Amino acid sequence: MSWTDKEIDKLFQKEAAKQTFEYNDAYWKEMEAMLPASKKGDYLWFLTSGIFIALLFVTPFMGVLNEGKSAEVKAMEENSIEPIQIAENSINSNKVVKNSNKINGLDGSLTEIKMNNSKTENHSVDDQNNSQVSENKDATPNHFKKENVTPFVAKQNSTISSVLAIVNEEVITENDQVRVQVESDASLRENASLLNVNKEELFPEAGDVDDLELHDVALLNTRSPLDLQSISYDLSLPWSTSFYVEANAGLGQSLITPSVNNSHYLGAGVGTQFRKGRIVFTTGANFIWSHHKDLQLTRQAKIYGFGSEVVQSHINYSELYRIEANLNVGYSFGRHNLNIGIRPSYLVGTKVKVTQDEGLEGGNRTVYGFTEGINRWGLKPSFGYGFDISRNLTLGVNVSTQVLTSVNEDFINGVNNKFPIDGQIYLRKTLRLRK
Amino acid sequence: MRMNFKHTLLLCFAGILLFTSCKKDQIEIPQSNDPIFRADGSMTGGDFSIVAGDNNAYMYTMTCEENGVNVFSGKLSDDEFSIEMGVYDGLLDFINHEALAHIANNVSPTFAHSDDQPIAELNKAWLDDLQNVSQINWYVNSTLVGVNVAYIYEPGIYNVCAMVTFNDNSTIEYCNELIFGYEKHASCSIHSNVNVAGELIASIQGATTQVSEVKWFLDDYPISTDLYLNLPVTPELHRLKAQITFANGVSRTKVAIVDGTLYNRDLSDFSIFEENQVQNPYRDFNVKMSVMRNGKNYYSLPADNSSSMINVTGIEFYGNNTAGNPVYKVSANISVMLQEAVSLKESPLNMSMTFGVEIP
Repeated sequence: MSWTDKEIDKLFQKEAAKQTFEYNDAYWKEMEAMLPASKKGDYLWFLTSGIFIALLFVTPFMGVLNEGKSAEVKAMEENSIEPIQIAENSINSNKVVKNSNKINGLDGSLTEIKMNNSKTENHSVDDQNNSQVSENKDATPNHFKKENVTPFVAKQNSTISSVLAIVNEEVITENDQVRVQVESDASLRENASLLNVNKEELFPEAGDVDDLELHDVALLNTRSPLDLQSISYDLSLPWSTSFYVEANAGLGQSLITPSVNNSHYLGAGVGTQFRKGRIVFTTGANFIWSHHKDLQLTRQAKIYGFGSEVVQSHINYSELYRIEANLNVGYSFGRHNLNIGIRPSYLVGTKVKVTQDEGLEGGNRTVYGFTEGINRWGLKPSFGYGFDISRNLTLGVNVSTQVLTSVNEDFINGVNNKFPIDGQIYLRKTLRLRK
Repeated sequence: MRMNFKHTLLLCFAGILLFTSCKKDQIEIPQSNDPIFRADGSMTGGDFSIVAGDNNAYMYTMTCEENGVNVFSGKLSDDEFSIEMGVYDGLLDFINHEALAHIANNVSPTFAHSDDQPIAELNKAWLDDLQNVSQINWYVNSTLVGVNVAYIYEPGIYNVCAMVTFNDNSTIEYCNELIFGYEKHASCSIHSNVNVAGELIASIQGATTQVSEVKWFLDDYPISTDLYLNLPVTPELHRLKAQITFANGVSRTKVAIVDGTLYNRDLSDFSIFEENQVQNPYRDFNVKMSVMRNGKNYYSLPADNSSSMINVTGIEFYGNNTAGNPVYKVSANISVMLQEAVSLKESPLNMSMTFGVEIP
C-alpha cells in the first residue's frame, strides 16, 4: 500500500492539529527569566565602530576620486592659503559698478573679498548662463577661464542665470591685495555657491584690479572662521587625503575608585586625514599599551568536597593592550587645529600577575592574555588641540573620558570610576604619498 | 609608493590579528561549586539538613571492620548531628571479589538486622564422636568464649580455635576460619584417618562444587597438592591443613587433627559448625545506618526493617579520600526504622542523601 500525497498531507494536518501539551504562560516567564539580561550601551560601540570601519575603508578611495581633478584644482587646494569665496548667482540686471553704493536699488550686506594678486592673465569666462556682468565700461573686465571656474561653481537652481553680486563697488589695490566689496541681497546670498580658490590661479595677472571682471561669480569673504557660510564653503571643496603615523602617550585617572593610583600609557598608530577646506576628518587606529597598579581581581570560591575550602586568587592586571580607533573632526585655522571626536577601543590582551593559594595550580606567575574581569569594549569622547610644527609634523593634546565601564565589578576590587579622564599628547607625522 | 603604504596597512592588520590570535595563557580560577555530600530528611525531632562543608560538617569515609568483615562506610557529621551509613561486604568465601560491582548493581539493598539470638553454636559434642575429649576451650578471635559450648551472635568471619584436652590429658590446639551469617558458595570437609601401617589417608569430602586444587600441610609444612593424600606420619598428634580452591573461585582452609599413635584422637575440622548455623538472612552487601542527634544514638540494626526501603538512585566515583582510598558518591532515598539505644524506642527516618562511601 502506498500513500498518496493527499493522504500524507491529510495525515500531517491531522497529527499537527493534536495539541500535545497545554499552553502555560508560566513556561514563557521561566524562559524569559533564563534569557541573559540585555547589555545596555552596546549599540553605542557598534555604531562608532561601524563608522570607524566604514571610514577606514572609504577614505583611501577619496584620494582616488580626487585624482580626476585638474592640476589647477589640486594646485588651488594646496595653495588655498587665503581663500577667495566666489558665489555664483544671477541677477539679470546686476552689474558691477565702480564707485557706487547701490546698484539697481538692491540693498544688502557688505561683503569683502580680499584677493592677493598681482598678476593676471587674460581670463575669460564664457558663462553658460548668459550672465550679464559688468557691461559698464568703467569696470575692468575680469575674465575667468571657464575650465577653471566650472568645477567650483555649483550648479544652482533653475533661476540661475547670472551672477549674484551687486558689487558695492570698492575695488582697492593695496599691497597686492584687491578688496572688493560685494553687496548682495540676503535671499540671493542663500543661493550663493561658495568655493575656495587661489587668487594666483584665478588672477595670475591681477596686478591691475581693473582687469578683474566679476563674471557669474561673486567673491565673498567671511571674517569669522566659524561663520556657517564659511563652513558650508569648506564643505563644498573637494577632498584631500593624507595618511599619518602617530606616537602618543597619556596619563589618566584610575579605572576604579577609590584609588590613589593613576594609569599611564604609550601608543602608536596610523590613520588617515582627509580635509575639506578647513575641516579635517581623522580616522585612525592606535595600539595602546597602558600600565595600571590597582586593577586587581580577587576571586574567592568555596569549594565543596568532603568538607569545604575557601580559596582565593589574586590577579593583578599590570598592563592592558588595546586597539583604539580615532575618529575626529577638526577645524583648522592657520597652523592650529581644534578637534572633537570619539575613540572606541577593544582590549586585545593583558599582562597579569597571578597569586593563588596553595593547592591551586599556578602559584605565583605572570600570564598574558587573561581578560576576565576587564570589559573589552571602551569608548572615549575626546576633544583636543593640534599645532602644526611643520608642514608634516603635528603636536597635539587630547582630553578624553571613558564612558563605558572598564572593569567587571563582580571581580575587580573596587567599583568603576565614572568617566575617568585622561590626557594624551601625540606627535603625528603626515605622510605625503603623492607628488 | 601608494601600494607600499597599503602593504604597510595590511601588515599592521595582519600583526594585530596575529597578536590577538596568539594562544592565551590560562589561569585556573577557582570556581565555587554546589555541595557534594548532603542529607536532607526528617526523623524524630523534626526536619534536618546537613551539608558537608557547611557548619563544620564533614563527610568522613572509611572502611570499618566488623567481625572480620569490611563495612564500607561514610559518616556525615557536624558538631551536633551525624548520620552514618555502612555497606557490608559480601561474597566472603571468594579469593577475590569486586564488592563495587555488586553494590552498584544492587539498587535496592536490604537493611542488615541483628538481634540477641545466636546464629551459630560451637559444641564439643559435634567434634568428639568417640568421647576421647574431656574439654574444649573455645576461642574466637583469640578470646575465650566458652568451654565445650560457645555461641556466635553476629555474622562475620571468625578465627575459631579449640584448645582440646583429651582424656589422657594430652592437649592440642587447632583453629579454623569460619564464616557465619554470610552466603557460602562452596563447602566441603577433610576426611582423614591413619591406618595400621601408620599411613595418613586424607581427602576432601562433601564438596558442593568441583575442587580444582588442594594444598596439604602437615603441622604447617606443605606436604602435597594431590587431591588424595597418602603418606606415613609419625606416631603423634598432627594438624592436617588443606587449602582448597574450588572451580568457582571459592577458597577455604580447613584444619583437622590426625592421630599417628592409633589412639583414635582424630578430630574433624569445624565445617560442622557452619553447616549447623542458624539460617538467618545473609548479610552480604546489606546496609546499616545510625544517627546521632541531640545526644541520642539511633541504630538500624536492632530495629525491624523488614518493610524499610532504600532506593539507590546513583553511584559514581568521586575521588580519593585522605587515606588514598577511592570514594564513591552514593545517592539514595531512604526510609528506615531506627532504634534509640537507651529507650529502645523505634522511630522512622526518611531522607534523601548523597553520601560518600569508601570502597577500596
